[in-house]
Formats: sequence, C-alpha cells, structure tokens
Amino acid sequence: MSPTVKVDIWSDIACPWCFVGKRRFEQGAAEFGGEVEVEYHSFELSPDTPVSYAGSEAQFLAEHKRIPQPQAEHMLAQMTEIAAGEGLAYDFAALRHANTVLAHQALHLAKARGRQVELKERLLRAYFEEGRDLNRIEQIAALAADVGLDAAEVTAALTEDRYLEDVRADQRQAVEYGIGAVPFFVVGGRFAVSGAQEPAVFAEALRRAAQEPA
Amino acid sequence: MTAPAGRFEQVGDTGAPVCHDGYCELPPQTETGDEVTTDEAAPA
Repeated sequence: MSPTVKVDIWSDIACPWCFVGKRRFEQGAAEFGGEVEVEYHSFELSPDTPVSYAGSEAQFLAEHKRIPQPQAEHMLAQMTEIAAGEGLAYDFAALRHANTVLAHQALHLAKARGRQVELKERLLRAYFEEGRDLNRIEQIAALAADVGLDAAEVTAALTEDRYLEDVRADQRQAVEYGIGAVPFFVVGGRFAVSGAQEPAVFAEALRRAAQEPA
Repeated sequence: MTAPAGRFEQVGDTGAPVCHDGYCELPPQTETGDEVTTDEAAPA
C-alpha cells in the first residue's frame, strides 16, 4: 500500500486559475488513486484591494490595473469559457471583488478544526459562482457554517484577526520558496507543479512522490 | 512562471496558466476551442 502523499497548495480565493487548477488537481488525484492529504496555504494576489469596492470586476481591473474595460470584459468572458470546461459556472457579472485576507484567516481556523478543504471549496464557489461578498465577516461566517464550522467562533476570530499571523507565515514561506504565482503545488515535499496543469501532470507528480518519498 | 530554483523538482509544463500580481496568464482560444498557451496577460 502506498503512503499518503502530502500536497501543500498555495492559492488565493480571488484567483480564477486556482479554482480551475483545483478541479484539475482533483482529477489527477482520482487518476492517481492513492491516499492524498491536502493543506492550503495563503497567497494574496492583490493585497491592496479595498474592502469597500462596489464596482464590477471589469471596472476594478480598468481602474486599478489599467486594463481597458472592454479588454478586461473580453478576458473575463474567455476565462468564464475555460472554467466552464471544468464544470465551473463563473459569473463575473455577479462577482464582488474582495480583499481576501479575511477568507484566508477563516481557512486557517478551518484547518485547525479539520474542515479546511471543505471551506476552500465553499469559498471559491461563493466567490466565482454565487457573487457572495467575502469582504464581509458575516458572509464568511455563514459560508463557514455551511461546512460545519461554528459561525460565532468564525465571527469572533475574524473580528480579532486571530489567524492573521498564520496568513503572514504562509506568505513568508511562499517568498522563501520563491513562489510568485498561483496556484502552486508542492507534492510530497519534493516535487513542484506550477499553475493549472492538466490532470495527468498532477497524477504523475503524485505517483512519483509515492514511489520516491522525500 | 517557473518553480523555485533548486528547492523542488519541477513536474509538468513551466508555462501552465497562473495568476500573479493581480493578473492571470490567459491562453487564447483557437477557432476549435483548444487552449493555446501564450504569454498574453489577463486580469485576475
């Protein structure tokens, strides 16, 4: 019997390729067939995102990233099409652009309670498919409750920034590893897979990690 | 985007799509709908 393969994944909630990559990784893990343990780590793509931004995603990109709005809209449409190929229903018209530091803190609380993978999926779906506002603590707490976490505990933790140092520790480790883009997968502590690769790549990395443990 | 030099053994294509600095690398679609990897930048 193969040993359990640990996979450390750096990603952000506000990262279209991270959700696509998650699906492709899951397909690869199914193809691999062995035991896999996943831990998500925090990576903020746009830590300067204001928490009160009320415009559309395309407007945000035009105003803050200097991308002409028609070009941004075209690219978002393209991303929507790619995500649909993975069974994901991205809705950029409904998306509420968010600063994700609160969501990352919630993921650390979820890890401590053994529900991180479930909350990661719930937050990504809420952000890209349901237009939920992840700038708001009460929204995150409600989503956390959906996966069995205590909403009151989540609310208190986020209000007091109890897990902010854990977020920063993940970010420091990303810098130490030289991770500048996400999603980024460290498989078995030895192999790296960068980006939303095809499922076969993840399966290969998992097989190699199982056969050649660090 | 490349893997951290020397620390891990890279598996797969180093040009796979990623997001960084608030942007995503977006492969354009061919007429048949297949993805073509390029360096075109797209928003995150």
